[in-house]
Amino acid sequence: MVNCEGQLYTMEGVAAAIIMVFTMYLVMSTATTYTPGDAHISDMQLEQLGNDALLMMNTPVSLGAESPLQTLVENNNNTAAAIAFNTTFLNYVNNKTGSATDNLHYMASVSYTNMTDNNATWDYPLASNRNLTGVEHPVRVTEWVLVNKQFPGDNMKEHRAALVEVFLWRD
Amino acid sequence: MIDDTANLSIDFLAGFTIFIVAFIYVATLIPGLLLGVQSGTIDYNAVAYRTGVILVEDPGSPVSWENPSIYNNYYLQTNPYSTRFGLALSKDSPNILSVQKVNRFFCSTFVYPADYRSRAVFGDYPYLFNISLQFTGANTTESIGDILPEGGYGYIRRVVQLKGWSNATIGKSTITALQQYSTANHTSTHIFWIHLNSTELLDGTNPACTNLQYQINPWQDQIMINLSDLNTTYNPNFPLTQANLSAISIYRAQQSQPFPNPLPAPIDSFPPDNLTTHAIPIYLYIDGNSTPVSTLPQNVTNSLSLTFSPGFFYLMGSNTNSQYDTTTQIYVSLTFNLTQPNWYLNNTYSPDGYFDYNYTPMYVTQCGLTPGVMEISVW
Repeated sequence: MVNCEGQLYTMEGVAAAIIMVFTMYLVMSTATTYTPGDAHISDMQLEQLGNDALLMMNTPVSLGAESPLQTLVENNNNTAAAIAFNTTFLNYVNNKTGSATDNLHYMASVSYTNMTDNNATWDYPLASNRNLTGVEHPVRVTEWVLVNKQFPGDNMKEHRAALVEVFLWRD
Repeated sequence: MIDDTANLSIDFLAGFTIFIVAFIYVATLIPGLLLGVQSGTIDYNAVAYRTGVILVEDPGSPVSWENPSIYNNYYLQTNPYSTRFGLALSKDSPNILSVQKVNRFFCSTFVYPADYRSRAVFGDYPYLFNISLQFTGANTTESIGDILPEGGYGYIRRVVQLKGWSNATIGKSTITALQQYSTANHTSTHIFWIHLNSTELLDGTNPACTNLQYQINPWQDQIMINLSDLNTTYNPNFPLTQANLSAISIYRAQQSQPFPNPLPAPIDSFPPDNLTTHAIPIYLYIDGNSTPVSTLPQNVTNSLSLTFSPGFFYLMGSNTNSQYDTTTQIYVSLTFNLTQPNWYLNNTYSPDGYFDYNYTPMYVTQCGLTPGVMEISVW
């Protein structure tokens, strides 16, 4: 025997389902922020470490001296400067208390204003111990450094601020 | 009799199924919703980060908490809510740590975890933690806290630099260049003066005066003077027989008052005071000996190293807070007695006057920075 009594049950089920899903959507969309797991914490730790390292490299070790970062950017045209940056930066970010060390990778570049190219922003690689392939999850840290050098593609040698940009990641 | 009373209709089954499917879907979302507020690791990481900021970027409170002349251990231990263990040199120089603050932070006087929890880690929850610090070239790691658990702890690593102390190494070349020896009087008693000019060190034109990481602060810093070639006389006709360091005296003068002649009474003298048991001790090492002597006089063959502990001169300033005293001048005299009269280390009548402990790198090794790393783990 077929009648129309069951129609009410269907309506109730659909209504309850819609109310529950909509309520849950409202609660979650207003009270939470989606993040990819806890990745932001390790990102924060890496960013802090990279920022600290660049800040310390940009601090002169004695009064009147250039900071190591300033010296390395001014002399980056030679391989020795790139090796020195590599050694200093990796020492800062990999050293831990005790005998164990970390194993971080980085790729550094320098951005600057090219005064002979309508103040366009140019950049060139500074140093790296591994190239980014696209599968890594790097963080980006930067440090402004005051230098006096003639940058590639620029005919003028003047004091100016250059931005040292480092991508830093852990395998 | 058979009828259809107990049968479930297709419509009811459809509605009930939709409801159950939706209910299961919502139920599976709930753990994800609570994940953020239930994760202990997230909280521990936040506390570790906060502790790192306090230790590395904050100079602490009260100002000069590291100076035992001002705040003794009893004060720091009985005022938990007015003390913060920041290790930075100043708020304007983050990541540059004060060696005096580091030494006091890791001293054995403070008790783990109680003294540190309310002064560095904070929070209502009784966190356990481990804080370690190591500098390049150091053989040991400074550490306080528990052994790390297997996992489940918050962590932060900070790169820092430690401001070192200045020191003056005065040998024959410096003595000759600055004419710090006497040829005017062929006597047995010679006095060598060292001048700590707070005006020049703290309020002068040198950029170091305003850069705390390079500043020499006589009121707060450790002051070290190394004298070498003490077996040398400056009269080639009279070789040295025996030199004896008989006294060390501290004098004070105001900037507006040139150093008075005759001398006033010293504000501190050794003897009669004892060097190593002084409230803020002096460490005097003779001829490379690794054990400091505690009393004077002492025979000297070739060299001596004189170290005034940090804060030694603090209470000798004229201001209430002499950390910023730029008017008071400190003079340190070292009196040598020779067994036979001779020309010797003596700048009393030198045309260059006293040996100035200042920002000239040729004569005074300036404060340097040593890189290091700090790790903080909280659980």
